[in-house]
Amino acid sequence: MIGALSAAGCGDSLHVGSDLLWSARHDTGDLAEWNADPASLLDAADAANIRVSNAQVHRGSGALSITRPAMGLEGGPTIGHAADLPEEAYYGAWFFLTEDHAVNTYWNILQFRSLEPTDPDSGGRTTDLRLRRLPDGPFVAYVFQHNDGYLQAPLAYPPPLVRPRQWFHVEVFFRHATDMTGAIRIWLDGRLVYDLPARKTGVGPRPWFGLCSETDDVDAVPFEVLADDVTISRSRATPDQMLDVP
Amino acid sequence: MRPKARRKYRNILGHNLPVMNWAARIGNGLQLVTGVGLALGAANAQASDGRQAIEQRIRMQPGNVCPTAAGVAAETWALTPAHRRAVLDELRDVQIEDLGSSYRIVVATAKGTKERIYQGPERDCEKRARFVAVFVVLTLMPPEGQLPDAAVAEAPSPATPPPSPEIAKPNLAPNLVAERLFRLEVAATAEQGIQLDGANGVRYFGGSLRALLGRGVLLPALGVSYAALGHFDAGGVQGDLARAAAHAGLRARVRTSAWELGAQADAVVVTSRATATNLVHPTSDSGIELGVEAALLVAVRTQMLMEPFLATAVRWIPVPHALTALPRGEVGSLPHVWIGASAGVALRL
Repeated sequence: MIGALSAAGCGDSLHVGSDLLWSARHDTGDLAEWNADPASLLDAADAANIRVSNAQVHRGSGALSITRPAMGLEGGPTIGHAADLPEEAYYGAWFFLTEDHAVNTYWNILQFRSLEPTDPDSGGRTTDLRLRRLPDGPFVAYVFQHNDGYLQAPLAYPPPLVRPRQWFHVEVFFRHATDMTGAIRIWLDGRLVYDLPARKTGVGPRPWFGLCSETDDVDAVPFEVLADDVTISRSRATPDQMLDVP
Repeated sequence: MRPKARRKYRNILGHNLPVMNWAARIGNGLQLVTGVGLALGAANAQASDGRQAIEQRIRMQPGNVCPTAAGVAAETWALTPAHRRAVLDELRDVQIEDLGSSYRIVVATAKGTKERIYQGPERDCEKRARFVAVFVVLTLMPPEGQLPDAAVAEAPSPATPPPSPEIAKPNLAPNLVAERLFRLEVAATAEQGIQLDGANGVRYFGGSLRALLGRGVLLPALGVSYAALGHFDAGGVQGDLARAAAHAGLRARVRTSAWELGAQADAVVVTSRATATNLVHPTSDSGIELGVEAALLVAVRTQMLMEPFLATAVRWIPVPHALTALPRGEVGSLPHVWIGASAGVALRL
């Protein structure tokens, strides 16, 4: 009887709080969640290639669409967030690759920079999470730091693979530091795949977190990346993340 | 070195009493030499000495009286528990006056004098001796158990003068205190949630209040408890936990002269309020759990209205609260199983 009564309503969950610092759900149909931060677009021209799409969503009614135009120069559009970020935090997002591109160089989908207006080269010293296509189809994810001391981190084993047209979750613990106290840890679909401690991760006073679709391929087709349920939090979100109070 | 039995004898009856007779001395001397067989003889001699010492403190009126001093002494010695016989040292004298169909007893101790008259028209001297012995022992030792019932079995004469304040009924019937209808228990409690099946450990401290009704072996019980000093750690999310519970159940108890042992089964309704303490945006949330609890209790019986007690309990919550926090979702749950201990005082009202 007690079990039946309990199942009938007692023993519900108790919600004790939130470690979310910021999130973007894209359910309003626009980029309001991103645009609240004036530092969201480091290049105003990127706005033309970043929008909210409802073609594929992870949850809710919209997802962020970032498209690198066909036949572009190296690079691509990037949108980010920097307001009130602490020195260290967990950064998570669900990604969806709309097409299976035969990438010849790299495909960068996530990056960290330092916000340092007085350093014009800070944008060239980012930490990237990149994809590279394997011959049999999937993409392997790897870390590349634009720092001569690190560059590409050794590939994880087993390799972290992602496939086009499937949502996958990436979460990064990023400790921003201009000395050797910085750290990077990356989980793919909940599995820790990169653990890169004790390194410089920034050149300026505070971090900037961005999603992007960058490549060096000269291709006749656009490269579109969808992202949804983007979170910045003080503790891990995990793929089982809960963004609404029950 | 004095013989062991003699030292004991003196401890029992005091130095102002006659020394042991020769039989006892011989018996105890041989005891040292010959061991167990003669030890029985020494014990008998000791009993004989004890009865004799009591008899010498009994003052009888001249003539053929009922009961006899020897009978009273033997009954008194037999009625006094072996481990309590040192109390006989407090006995100064016993006056017995045979009034024919009744008899008067006056017992003098270091604490005062007590007097009583009993009816005994049949002049059964053995029975009278037993009643005198009961009165003596009850006067020397605060009575426990059912002794008072035996003492009042022979009803006092209507002509009996009212008892002196010293032998007022509460002194002779202390169990009336234990047989009060209501029992109120106040306790300080500590509980620990057991980490089983992925549930998370919690500990807290608080207090409880419980009321029991009845005088029998089975008592209905109602209670409440509250604790605001609880803390939990669920997957790295730390917080405070306040819990209030209402209990309803049944207690079975066994009582001895010194202890009361109880076993209790309760249905429990628990309301919990949890608040995170290490999140960026902490919030509080409340909910209700249902469970069952089994408890064991031991109380020290006293002749006052208060009895100290200790208790331990196990509580089972079939569907405990899950704990959620953004953005992780469920970070753990409150425990299914709790164990607790409490110490408090029971008030008999």
